[in-house]
Amino acid sequence: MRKMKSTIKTKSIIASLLVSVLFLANSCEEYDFGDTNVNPAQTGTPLPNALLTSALWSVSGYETQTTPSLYVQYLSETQYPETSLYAVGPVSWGEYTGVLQNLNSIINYNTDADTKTKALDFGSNANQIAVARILKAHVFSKVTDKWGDVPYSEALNGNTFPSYDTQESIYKDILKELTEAENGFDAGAMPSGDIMLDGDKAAWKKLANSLRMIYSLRLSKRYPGANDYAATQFKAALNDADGYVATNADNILYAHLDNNNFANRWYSLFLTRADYTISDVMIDKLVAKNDPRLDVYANKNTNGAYVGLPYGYTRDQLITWTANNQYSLMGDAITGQTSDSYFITASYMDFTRAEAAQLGWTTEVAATLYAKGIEDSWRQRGVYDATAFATYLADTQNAYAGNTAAKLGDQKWIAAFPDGFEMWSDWRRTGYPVLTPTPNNLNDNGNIPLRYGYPSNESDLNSEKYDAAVARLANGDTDNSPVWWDN
Amino acid sequence: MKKKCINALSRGAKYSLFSIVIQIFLMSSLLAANGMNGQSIREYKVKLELENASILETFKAIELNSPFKIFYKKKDINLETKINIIYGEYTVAKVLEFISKDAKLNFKQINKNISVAPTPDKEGGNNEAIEPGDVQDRTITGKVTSAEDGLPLVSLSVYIKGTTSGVVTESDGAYRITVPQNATTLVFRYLGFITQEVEISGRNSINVVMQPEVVDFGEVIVTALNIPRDAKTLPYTAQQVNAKELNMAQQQNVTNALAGKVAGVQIRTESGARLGSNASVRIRGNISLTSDGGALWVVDGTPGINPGSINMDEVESVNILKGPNATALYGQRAADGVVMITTKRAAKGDMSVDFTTGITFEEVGRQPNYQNSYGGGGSANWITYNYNPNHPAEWQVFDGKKYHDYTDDASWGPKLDGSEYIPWYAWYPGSKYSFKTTTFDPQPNNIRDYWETGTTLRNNIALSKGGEGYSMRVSYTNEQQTGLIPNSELKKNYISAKLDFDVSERFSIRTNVNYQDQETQGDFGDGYGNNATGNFNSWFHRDLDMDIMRELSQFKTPTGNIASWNHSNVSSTTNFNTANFNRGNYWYNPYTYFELLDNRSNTNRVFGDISLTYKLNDKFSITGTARRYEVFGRSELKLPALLANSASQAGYFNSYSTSQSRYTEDNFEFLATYSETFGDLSVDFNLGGNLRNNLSTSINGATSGGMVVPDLWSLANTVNPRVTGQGYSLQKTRSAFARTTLGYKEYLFLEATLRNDLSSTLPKGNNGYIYPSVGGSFVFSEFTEDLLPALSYGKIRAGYAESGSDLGAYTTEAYYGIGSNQFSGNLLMSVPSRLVDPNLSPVTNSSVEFGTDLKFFERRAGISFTYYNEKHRDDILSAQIATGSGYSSILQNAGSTKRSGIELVLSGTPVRSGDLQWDLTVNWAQNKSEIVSIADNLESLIYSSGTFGFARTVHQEGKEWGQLRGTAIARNADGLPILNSNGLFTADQNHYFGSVLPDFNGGIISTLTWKDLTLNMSFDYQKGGKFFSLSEHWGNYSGLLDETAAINENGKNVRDAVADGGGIRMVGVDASGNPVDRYVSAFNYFHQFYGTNRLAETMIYDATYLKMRELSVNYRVPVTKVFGNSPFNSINVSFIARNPWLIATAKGQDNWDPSDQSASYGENGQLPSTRSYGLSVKFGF
Repeated sequence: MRKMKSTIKTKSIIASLLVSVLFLANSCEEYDFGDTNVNPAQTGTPLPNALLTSALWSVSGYETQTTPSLYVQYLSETQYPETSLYAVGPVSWGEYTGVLQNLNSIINYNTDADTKTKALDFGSNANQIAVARILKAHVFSKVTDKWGDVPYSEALNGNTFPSYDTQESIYKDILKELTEAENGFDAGAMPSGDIMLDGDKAAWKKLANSLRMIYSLRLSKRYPGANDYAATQFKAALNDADGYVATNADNILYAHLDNNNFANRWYSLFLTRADYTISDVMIDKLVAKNDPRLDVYANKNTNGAYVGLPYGYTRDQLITWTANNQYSLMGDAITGQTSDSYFITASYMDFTRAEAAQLGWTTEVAATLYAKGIEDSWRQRGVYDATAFATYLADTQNAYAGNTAAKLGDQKWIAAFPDGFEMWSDWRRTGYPVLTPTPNNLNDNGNIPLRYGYPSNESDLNSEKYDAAVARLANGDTDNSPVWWDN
Repeated sequence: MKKKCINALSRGAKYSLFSIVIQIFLMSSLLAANGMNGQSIREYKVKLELENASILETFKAIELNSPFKIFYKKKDINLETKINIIYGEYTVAKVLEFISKDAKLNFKQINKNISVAPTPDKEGGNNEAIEPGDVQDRTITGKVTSAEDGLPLVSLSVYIKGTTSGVVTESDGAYRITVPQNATTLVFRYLGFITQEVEISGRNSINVVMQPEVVDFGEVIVTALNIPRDAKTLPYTAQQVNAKELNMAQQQNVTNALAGKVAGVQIRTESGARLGSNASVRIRGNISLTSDGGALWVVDGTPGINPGSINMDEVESVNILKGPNATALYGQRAADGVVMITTKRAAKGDMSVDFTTGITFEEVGRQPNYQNSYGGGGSANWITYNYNPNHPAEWQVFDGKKYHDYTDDASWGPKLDGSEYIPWYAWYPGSKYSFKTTTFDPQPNNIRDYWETGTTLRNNIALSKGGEGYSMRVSYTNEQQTGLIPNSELKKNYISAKLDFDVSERFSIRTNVNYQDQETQGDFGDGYGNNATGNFNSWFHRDLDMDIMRELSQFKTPTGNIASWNHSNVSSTTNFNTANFNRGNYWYNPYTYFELLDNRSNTNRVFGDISLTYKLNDKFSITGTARRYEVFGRSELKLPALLANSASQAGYFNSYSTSQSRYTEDNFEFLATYSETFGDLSVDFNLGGNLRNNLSTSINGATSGGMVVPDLWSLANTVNPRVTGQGYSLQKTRSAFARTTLGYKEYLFLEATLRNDLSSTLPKGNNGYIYPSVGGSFVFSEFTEDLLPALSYGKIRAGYAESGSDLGAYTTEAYYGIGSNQFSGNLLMSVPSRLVDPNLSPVTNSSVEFGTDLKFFERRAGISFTYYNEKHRDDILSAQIATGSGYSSILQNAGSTKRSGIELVLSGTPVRSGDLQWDLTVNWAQNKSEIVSIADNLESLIYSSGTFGFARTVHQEGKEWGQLRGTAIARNADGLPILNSNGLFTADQNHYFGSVLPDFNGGIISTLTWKDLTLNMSFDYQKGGKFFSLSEHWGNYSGLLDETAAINENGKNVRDAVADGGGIRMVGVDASGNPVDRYVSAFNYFHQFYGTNRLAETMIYDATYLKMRELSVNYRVPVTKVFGNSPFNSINVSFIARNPWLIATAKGQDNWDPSDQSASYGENGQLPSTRSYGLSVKFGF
């Protein structure tokens, strides 16, 4: 083009571009957006009372863990019998990122110099820490009871490859923690958010001492002697001036509400599903003993009879059986929306003390404690009648004579219903009650499982530490490897 | 990131459109300008003076001073012809007329393109010439229209073959030519169309439909930031899909319409029974460790649009920007590619009314193969009913009769032997089937019978008009659909209004408003346990008669509940009034559920823009644009008491829940454009800035635990405290960018871009980043004309680009959330389970792409080839960590991935003979996305977990993206299964089965035209890519699929007792390595896959398929011939079919349609694939 006429000179265009660049020029690495990226509906700092409430609600979930309740044959599966046929595999440990981390956070918040003053709004530092330590020790015992060696000393601090501590060292630390926590309360305000004991310091101390007794007895196979570690720990707790759960008035109940969000967990379990019911093993035992707790533990079927659903049936067997029979459901008194459920009962402590006496750890009288255990259970369940109780106790099935360990095991098992988790640990340790495994087993060995498999992703995410822990197991990472205290 | 930046439109948070406009005026004051701008060559004026200029220079002058691009075949034109025009202001048409006189050329405007061709006879005539013949014996009249759109062709040359005598058509396409008696043939010639020779054969009236020629001039491609570009200048691949290819089969959404049409793009459709759903789009596989697809959708420059809001009737073209080389100007948001949609606008001088109406019918496509030999129940044994006097007297007739297990929802029941039995409904009084037995017969079509025939009615009217200084288009579409699921429907309305308005010579406004409302009713959940397929393919009784089910869907039993096939067995009751005997155990009658559930959601979407352009002069313009995309959603779910009460274990409560949400994205954009030519050098420069705010808010509430008063739809009417929720998220981004293209002559182009993004979601102090791109293209065919005459166009292109991406709002810090329920006034709170690395920085991508575009034989055939290699570093990912740490994941910069691939497009016209033309495009793409590393000491990363944990999509270091991982059958070194003592498989945990991404994929588009008939077909295919089928697992577990009742090697049914020769043969070794060869019962065999091992291996397949996506037969009614003078300009009738034919799938996989997948790991209990057929008529006035 020879003479294209542009009315604008190139120069002026470039000039205007430069002006605009200068006008707009700015840094490009950083810009202050103010609070744009601050989430208005969430907080960067925790509320220790809300963490405690959440932790207490989580802790109450152990009572309704159905897997151990199926292992100890409290329950039968009504329609999909996998767990009661011992289909076992990896089980996730949700505690670390849930309840344990919440409790850990309460302890840290009350310990760190930056935050401990602010934490005083929710109770004294010492009392918040003491409560959190008791609960944390308790949860860790549940964790190690399920899997054996687990991350402990290196856990919960963001270390992405925590080592697995031996169960022995974990239990020793749990007992140390409980002892220190029990002595750690001060005169200040008790923590807020305590939906379980509402800041009742004496009750917290009794809980701590009771747990010390239960957990030291758990080590009885490893430390059987009257002056061994376990007995020493047991006696220290038994003799602690702050006491333990000794009467039904001391019973520690889980907190729940008359709405479905926080209802009795047995209620929630059956709210829309009917996967479990009380087993024939339990019903037959109660019927044989003419035990009045039967009316509490079970409902009559529509024909007005107590019929337990057979334990360990296959689905095919269940269908055939249920086509011709009706089974009893768990009792309304257990499964009501606001029915009580228990963390620690006097009855359980009676049997715990009775066993310690049997072992010669204490000078308490086993027979008395045995009878008191049954009586406390009857009273707890509201079925106590002096005459009936005398008759019951006189029955050779129940009298404290003969194989007293078996008697004790049976009665503890009946009294603790439906808390299968504790009884699974007791059964593993003592062999009582005597349970017959299902013949329709899906696991390799046909035995009632002795532990859970480690979470499936541990071998991926923490392989070195996982391998080291598995190497310490007798039969590898299977259900057939006993945990340390079970040896 | 320590880089210096060019500039940033970012000082001060208060930038708005207003301030941009002020700047535009500020700058404009520095400049003067001229130009009176229209959009038609007859209106658009240019000022120029030419003195002995070459044609090439003249064309360039026009291109520079107007929005028009000029296209021509070089060999047709003598570019050295000199042109002289005295100084003045002329319309472009006038200038062309001058040229035409001097150079004997013919011009045609097609939108903004002007095509050039020599006049019919290179010697004589101009474009208006009529040169009468010697003998004027007869007159022939007629009308010429385009086959493309049926519109008249104006100024088309009609001449007598063998002479120079000719005329041109008038504005209505009519012509009148006088021919000598001896003339035999008329020639119709028009640029961009195939020249036609028509024998006169004594006729006085000849109407002609001209067929367009395959892309006979350079393509204009809409690129990033909505900048239209000449394809030859692009340094990256661009494959534009036009409205015609897109709209072959009246698709209801643009995502489905793209299937198979663009190389390197994988469209993963969902079941057509899910009304209102869109397909997901994977572009070049995947490269991010944390996202699967998720392309950015841009409509007329407005980004972030949900593809569901796009009206197919309005789409003019789709261009997919595939990698950083093409998306560099979109910055951080475009990491997964960009889908650019350009909608239709009116042209100047245009006045048209189009009305389209269509109806389609939809039915179920592929269904799994069910077994039809065994009925319902968990046990193969019949149960005999024994009457007892406590029972209702009506049951006495059943005494001694048999029934199968109703309680169990599987089909491991008795043989379907035609014997007499008591069906599920016969126990209740009040129906015509009460207390009557029937025969136990197979129902092979009961599932297919269940689905309704879906219908879709769609009507669109579009009005366009353009005149002096304005053009506008208004369109309205109404769509009403009923689905395959009973009682499901979708209603949609789309309204759009577009106005281009020249306020003054220099100042123009362009507006764009789109509104859509959508209402759906129905439950479209398609995961495990849904009440349609989640039932039929997972848990069902094969003996059920669907007609009776339909009839009894509202049948009430004595308890007032609605009975289900899945009620308790009669042993559980002695009377009519036991609840569990009168309602479903796990499942409703599938009609009952959908008829009673009221689940509505409404979505209103508005998007559009207003842009003001100030043209300072012919070379420099500035545009300020404000854009908004807004979505308002509302949903309500009413679950009536009757439904809640009619099942015992389905988990439903009488409930009401509702939610409202609002999402807005605002963009304020500034763009300066500058073009200049210095001799052979041309410069194109853009400078821009953008402020973006994304705000999302929501609130929801629900009753809990039932309602105090049944069916009173208030949130206050709740048994437990109502559940409420809220959402709020705000994100701000500030960006500045620049682009320049340098061109040398018409064959060498160099492009560079630079973008700076500042994002509020990144850590303070390090929230800005820059990425550049550079590329070039070389049109080498300019030099090979003599050497390779067959090559009509050849270009090579190459480029390097970087891009980045940020993360969601509020993720750089750990937040403690409050639980939604209080415990008696106590809040609940948990420690966040994710750790956050405080030093997060943006993700970076870098990509190299090169390729070539070749066209042969006068562009009749073409090949486009692209290779890309992209690296992705510092992905921001939430890596799983051992939970013993107290956390389940850590958000950090970790992970590096790469992908490379090849894209190939072959297009051409294999047949062009007389009235027959066949156009074919074949796409093929191969992509390999590889995980280079994930995070320190982390070898795998779970991308998504499937229901029940059978299969997960996992990234594994060193392997391809998205491995399907699950439990395999443990095998010995020889590959033999290791069997346990029961003869069943043992498990090999965490086995990698292969990537979910295909080995290669592509599509075929075929258009066959014969006279007024057009046959369109589109196909897509993929090879490989693994998927897991959850339905197959449960279908086998529950004894529904044919495998569970197959005939074994003994000629016995696998369900027969092993002792009788039945069962399934297991060949393998035991734990000690000894060979095992035995039979196990079918029940045990199919149940072994569940349990703790979750054996996935046998449910994992290749997602290979070849599918005909679209088929249409289009008939262009010869309007003039049929109707004579009528208001119609055109009428098109189309028969259409969507997804008519799943042609092939992987061997051994004939239960599922792998082209429909609801989850990244595959099939998750999803709704069935569908196919549809219909009719559509389009009227042009």
